[in-house]
Amino acid sequence: MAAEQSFACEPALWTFNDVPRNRFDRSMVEAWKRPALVVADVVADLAGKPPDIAFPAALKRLSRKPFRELLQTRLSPGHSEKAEGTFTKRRVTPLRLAYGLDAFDPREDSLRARVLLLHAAEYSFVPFAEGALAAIKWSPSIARWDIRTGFHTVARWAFDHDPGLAVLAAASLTIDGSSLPWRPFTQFYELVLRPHRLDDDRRRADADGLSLHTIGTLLDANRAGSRQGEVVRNLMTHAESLGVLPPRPRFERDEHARRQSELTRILLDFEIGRALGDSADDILDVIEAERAGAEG
Amino acid sequence: MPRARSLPETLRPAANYEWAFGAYYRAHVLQKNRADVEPAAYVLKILRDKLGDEGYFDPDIAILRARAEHLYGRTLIRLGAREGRDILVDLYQKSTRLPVDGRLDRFLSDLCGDLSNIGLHHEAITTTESLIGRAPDNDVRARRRGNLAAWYLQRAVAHRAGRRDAAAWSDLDAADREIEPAIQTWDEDDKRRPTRTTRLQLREALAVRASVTVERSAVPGYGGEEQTRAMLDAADELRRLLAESLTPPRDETYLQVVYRIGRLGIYHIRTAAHRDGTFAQLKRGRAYLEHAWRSTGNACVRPWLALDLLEALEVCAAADDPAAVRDFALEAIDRLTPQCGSDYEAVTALAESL
Repeated sequence: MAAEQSFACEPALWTFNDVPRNRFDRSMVEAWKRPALVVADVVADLAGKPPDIAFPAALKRLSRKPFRELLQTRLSPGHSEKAEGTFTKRRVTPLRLAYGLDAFDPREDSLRARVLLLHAAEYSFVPFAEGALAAIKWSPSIARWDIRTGFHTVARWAFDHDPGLAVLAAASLTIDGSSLPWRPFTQFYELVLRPHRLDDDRRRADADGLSLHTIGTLLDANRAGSRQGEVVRNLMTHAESLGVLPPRPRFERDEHARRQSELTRILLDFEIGRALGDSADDILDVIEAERAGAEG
Repeated sequence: MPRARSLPETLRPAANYEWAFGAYYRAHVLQKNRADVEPAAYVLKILRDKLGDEGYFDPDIAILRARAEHLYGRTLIRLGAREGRDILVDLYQKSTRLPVDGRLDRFLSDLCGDLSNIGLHHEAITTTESLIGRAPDNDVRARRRGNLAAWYLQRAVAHRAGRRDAAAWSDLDAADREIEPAIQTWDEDDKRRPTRTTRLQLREALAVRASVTVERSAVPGYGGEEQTRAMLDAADELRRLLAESLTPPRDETYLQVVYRIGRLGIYHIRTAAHRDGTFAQLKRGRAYLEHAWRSTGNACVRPWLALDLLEALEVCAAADDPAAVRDFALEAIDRLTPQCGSDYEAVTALAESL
């Protein structure tokens, strides 16, 4: 298989690459991986419960002492102590900074549990993003299809693969109705946007905005019982309103077909009683007058 | 932050399953392009090579492999390659050997839409009947009954094209029997807890019922006051559904919308023909059908749309523009042959018009 058709890890997506670490820490992967799996276990235990019950329950179970107990009961004792010691004592604070949770009130006592939920969600989500990015490289396209790939991957992960963890991660980034963007989403969107947004600052700002909107959309969708498709449509509409995406191109290639489609839709709107809007009505008045003049 | 080169840069160095899903999602988005699905076919070809044939026997990736194969087959059909249909037929046969679970059922439910598209009506119907028996809850059961009604409707169209009138009536009756409980379920759901999803499902079920009614008007034996009234009601239903589904936020797929426009179009054509409608009504019906046909782009298309547009052109244009009828028939044959095969009833009926 040619190298350009391979899957590859994307280091930029992994938050631990942004966290200071000991260059001699050979057990690092194990130390970061085990807490993620334990948190995923906790979330699986809460499957089926509505988020307003599951989220506080998860925070409670992931508070300092119970989490240590969870590690000890669910993993082999030697590993758990090492993992717990390496991870919760030295990694949570840098992760909290990397996820931007310091924007919240530092007296908020759930921050540590929120970090653990976000870390577990990242462990689950990032490989899907890596797969999508690899396939984008196999066959690059216009901004619309690339960005839609990003949204589709996020929504599929959140609905089909890890719905419990996805909604708890979104809840972890939200306090009192105020949300934060999530670094893995931001990094993912930034990589997707890279070929289409050459200005670094603008690309970063767009990715951040899309990431923030994704968090809010996932929470809203969960509350409203919306489906994955609605989430993607919402994100596409938002991207269009931000100017990240150009308006949807018409697929009719020739002008005659395009005009015929538009006129047919106007005819249909009349039949089903949809208002065309004042500006369209004005133009139709002019067209009618033109035609009457031509015929008269 | 400078890093020692020897340290790992990922926590998931071999997440093959998730990577393959990510690539599949890329392909899934690319195949939504109504103008060009070559890039989707390219990604899917790489992906299916990676997953390999042995994927069918690994339960973890068997369904993903099957989904990639499904999308690849459909994409090839849309590119006009007959190989795509062979892939779907082969996939259906292989899928019967996979262990039954919820994931397989969801896949089969999706596959049945394309089995119906390629003319494997019996397979789509019997598979969906089994899926209804295994539905985990009322909503899934209602969705599958709605699908079953649609597959009966598509088979009725094939019977109509093959001039098997009694079989067509029988399938239309079966479609009506299946769609009514689905409508009832979604209606109750929508009254109990209205969401965009319940509204969408209810609209789709109502659209299937209206389509069944409109399809009846194509089969010899149609007529009488009751059926005429039902046809008028179906047209009103289609107008109401279109008004709702075209108003943002739009939840329907473009295919759902254009099929409703097409059904409203053929309603106008047949009403004008049966009841001394005006020339304007004929032109309106033709415009709707042409719009629906064009809007399907390169998608696998329901054969009724080709048959009904041909009928509209024969009514509206045969006298003064016979070339329009012939050109469309050739275009439709060219499009439907890779999808359904050259001996499929709708293709044969189109060829007879030449």
